[in-house]
Amino acid sequence: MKHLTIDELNRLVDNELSQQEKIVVEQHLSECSFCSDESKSFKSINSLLIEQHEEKAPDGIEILIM
Amino acid sequence: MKHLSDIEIIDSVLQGNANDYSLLISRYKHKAFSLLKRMLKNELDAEEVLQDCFVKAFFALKSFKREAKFSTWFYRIVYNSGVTKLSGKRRKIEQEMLSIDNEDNPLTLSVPEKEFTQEKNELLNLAIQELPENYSVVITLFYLESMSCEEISKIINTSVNNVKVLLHRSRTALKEIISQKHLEKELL
Repeated sequence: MKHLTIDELNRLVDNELSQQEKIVVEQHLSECSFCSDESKSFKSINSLLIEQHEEKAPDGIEILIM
Repeated sequence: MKHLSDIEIIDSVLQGNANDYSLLISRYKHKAFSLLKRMLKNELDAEEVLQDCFVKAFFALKSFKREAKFSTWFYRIVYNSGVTKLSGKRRKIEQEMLSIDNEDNPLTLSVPEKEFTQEKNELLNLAIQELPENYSVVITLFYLESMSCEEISKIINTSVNNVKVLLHRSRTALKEIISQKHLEKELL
């Protein structure tokens, strides 16, 4: 079985697949546990990155600059 | 208190209210610091460059053309300053390495094992710091700054398609780092 490409998995996460591609990809995911796991993994990375927090700049930087 | 737009703050600063510039600093300091820390992988360097960026932007405010958003203009300054700092650091490292034998240096998180119990966000930051600089820049601008691929392309001076490629590659590389470091349980 031919697995999904990294590009397809990424575009799936970004919701950039065409309707036709989406149907093919979802069909494949329902039949291939390897790609299904890969897809979950990419979605988790995406969620993790969405939830991340910014780092705090050191206190008092305004005073140093102004 | 009324929330002033970036442009309103800039107008006020240009009219002589220099203290209002601190509003822009407060608005952008954390995100710009996050980007610089990920580029430079060093807190002190990031702080130094951050201060420099705000000073540069202050003196260049008059030349800010309002066709682009202030954030895009400012992050170009931040990104370019980060690149300049990095090239200086690389030159220094190359000079130091001349006298040292090359050794295989496998990808490692530079923290002791015990720190792996720190919060998810810190682990993620450490993993992101293992990414090549252009990957961590794109991932930071896209996710932390919520910028579109088009805005990012203007900041790092490349095509929109290239930004998308970099974004895909950076997520793939991050997945590999997390897997290599057996951090799936903590992070995913």
